[in-house]
Amino acid sequence: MNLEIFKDKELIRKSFQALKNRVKKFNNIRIMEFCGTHTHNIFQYGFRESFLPNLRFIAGPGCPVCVTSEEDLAEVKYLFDNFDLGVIAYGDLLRVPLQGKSLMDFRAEGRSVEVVYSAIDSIRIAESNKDKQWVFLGVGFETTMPATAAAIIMAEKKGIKNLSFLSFHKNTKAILKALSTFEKLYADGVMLPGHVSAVTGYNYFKDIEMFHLPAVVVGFEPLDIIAGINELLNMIEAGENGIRSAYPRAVKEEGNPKMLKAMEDSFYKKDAPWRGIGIVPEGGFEIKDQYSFYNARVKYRIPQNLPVQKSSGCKCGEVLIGRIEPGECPLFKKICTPENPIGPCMVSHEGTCLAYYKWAEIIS
Amino acid sequence: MCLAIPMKVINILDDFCTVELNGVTKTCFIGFLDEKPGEGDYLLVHAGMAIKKLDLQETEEILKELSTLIEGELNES
Amino acid sequence: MNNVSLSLGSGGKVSFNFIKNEILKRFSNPILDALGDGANISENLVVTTDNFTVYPEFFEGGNIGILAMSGMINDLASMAARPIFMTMGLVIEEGYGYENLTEILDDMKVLAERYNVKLICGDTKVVEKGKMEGIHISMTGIGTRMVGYKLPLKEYSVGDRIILTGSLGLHTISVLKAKKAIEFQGSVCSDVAPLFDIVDALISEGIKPKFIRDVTRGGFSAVVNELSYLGGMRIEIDESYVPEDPMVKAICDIYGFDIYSLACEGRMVIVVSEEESEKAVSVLKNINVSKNSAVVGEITDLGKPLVILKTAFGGKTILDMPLGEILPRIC
Repeated sequence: MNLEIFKDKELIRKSFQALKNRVKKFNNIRIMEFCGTHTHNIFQYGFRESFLPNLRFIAGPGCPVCVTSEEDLAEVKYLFDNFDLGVIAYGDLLRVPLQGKSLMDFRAEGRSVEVVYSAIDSIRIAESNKDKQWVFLGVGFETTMPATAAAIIMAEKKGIKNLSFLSFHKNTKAILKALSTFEKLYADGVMLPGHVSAVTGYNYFKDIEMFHLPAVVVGFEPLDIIAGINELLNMIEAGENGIRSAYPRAVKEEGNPKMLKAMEDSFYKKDAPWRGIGIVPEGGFEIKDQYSFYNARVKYRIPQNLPVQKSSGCKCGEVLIGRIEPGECPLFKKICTPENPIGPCMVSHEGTCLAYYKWAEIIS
Repeated sequence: MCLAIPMKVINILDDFCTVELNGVTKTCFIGFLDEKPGEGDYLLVHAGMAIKKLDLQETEEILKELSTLIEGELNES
Repeated sequence: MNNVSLSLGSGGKVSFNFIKNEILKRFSNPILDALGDGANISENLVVTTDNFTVYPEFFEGGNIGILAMSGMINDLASMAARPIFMTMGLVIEEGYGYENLTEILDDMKVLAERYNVKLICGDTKVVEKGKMEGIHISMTGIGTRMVGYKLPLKEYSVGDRIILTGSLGLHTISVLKAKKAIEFQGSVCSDVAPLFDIVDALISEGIKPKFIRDVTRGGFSAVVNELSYLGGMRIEIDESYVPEDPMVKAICDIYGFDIYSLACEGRMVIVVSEEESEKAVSVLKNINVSKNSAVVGEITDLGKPLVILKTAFGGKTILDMPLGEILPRIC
């Protein structure tokens, strides 16, 4: 068995057509995808509008860059404003509005902003630019955190002195719990993130059981998404709740123990702000004291509660749980636009609000 | 959230290995895999690190489900 | 205070808005407003201008000189014009390797001779070390139009076919690799090449292209979106017919690049009528630089600009104007 079968266009085409036929037998099904890459791929594969009106997708809180908060970004601005240092970031973060500016704008002003593919690359940058201090911006969920953990451990082993890390890492398990404080998820089924689950195992998301909904761990190829939706429909039809994996080649009940341990060794959970949602209890990860030399918050004594400018009235939280549609948010299209996004649903290239913004005229 | 793709192991060096896709090869950190991969294995690679060795035996089930779906829905119409 | 960001020059949405809001606002006139790759300045004369700042200036498959010559020739070819004269401005960093400079000029000479373009004037400046990096070239090309009408047309018909002359993204990937912005082992050569021959061949076969545009910064997305905007029409692209380079595809998968936003320097988008499309493709397939040509889409509606991408298995999505700089992503 090899993976080529997942690229078989004829099989994808047939499966897609079959699923479309099947969906027609359902009424007003709402499927929440938790993960930003699902949102991206569902859009890219052209699935988003394909099952309307019988099935619609709700993009959940699953893009770690989009949920990077104004408070987080104020810390980056603080560093730039007060120190002569360079910042290392994933490309995703460059366009995110950061208290009036983006990292691109800072770079345009002559600040050093290096884009990397992996946290581990920050070691190379620090080693080859020794006369400069560097800060790596750690964004991402549990999938991406191990790379930051690996970089911190490597930096310590190598005794690198000109590199530190600012952790904006977010906890997906905590957001799930936080969403439950809303009275319910306005969805009939949930697609769980395949790659977070690959690291953590799907038992990590057991809390989802409190929503009494079917939940399926889904992969990212077109066939994976088709199979995932199909599995959700099976469960909806049978009235079954609980978690299943439609991505068993990568995700089982248990995750990757070594990665979980590396994360536990280097990070602890703390309350953290999520863009558009607010403070989520245990919603973020901070670098442990034993690595405080590598923690930019400690190294640069970043003050807590930096002033942030925030537009009030953003209803992303409610869009994320599917309670309201983007058009019901008072900021949508008026203050919050793709050029000036307020909440994560507009920041993300494929966020629900941006998708509605772009597709509105075509749908109608 | 997490863009990760399957790449094939072609060479192993300690904590890193070389992985390949369509003739493109890259170095990938494997220090956190729970078992050391072998040449020919497929790894799920995210941000320069392998997060999981793929279990190819586990693709059968999903393909079976899909063929049931196709049989059920495409013959009907 | 606002500062210019890289996106302003990257051929995407930001560039487009800049041209609309700052350039056209100040300099609008009928020739400029056509927003072609060049300007029709008389019944048969066409002028184009372009700057080349690629860094590093040598990359797999080419260098800045080949790029400048090809870019100038391709801009003229996009206006269905045969290049006759060119001017060249060189801006060089103090301390730049003399042999690199002569190598670049040698490569330019080969292309100038091959396409029979005469250099008629030029300018050379050297700037203090560190004030810029390497070498920049600015080119103006003058050509004579080979067809009796001005390109690009503003009028199109439903059913007109969109032809793409080869796979996407080779140039961006080759340059990003040379820059070390992405790292992999494997050979990806830029597609940089003059495309005059393919336009010449189409026209001598009697085909009447309605729109010709070389795919550069902003990639295929930018070209089809500009076309859609120009003619105020809906275009549908069928992904399954878009020629694909497997290595570029793999790199896009790894780094999360959108292949439709990546730059090419040796590809054309050509619009022809439905009747002429088959013949046009067979003419193109006979020429090496366009041997992988295919009809990749068509104009499906007039009235409102929109580009739809039909995915290989029947889904539909919007092909938007690219945002600007090509960045790797993790999510």
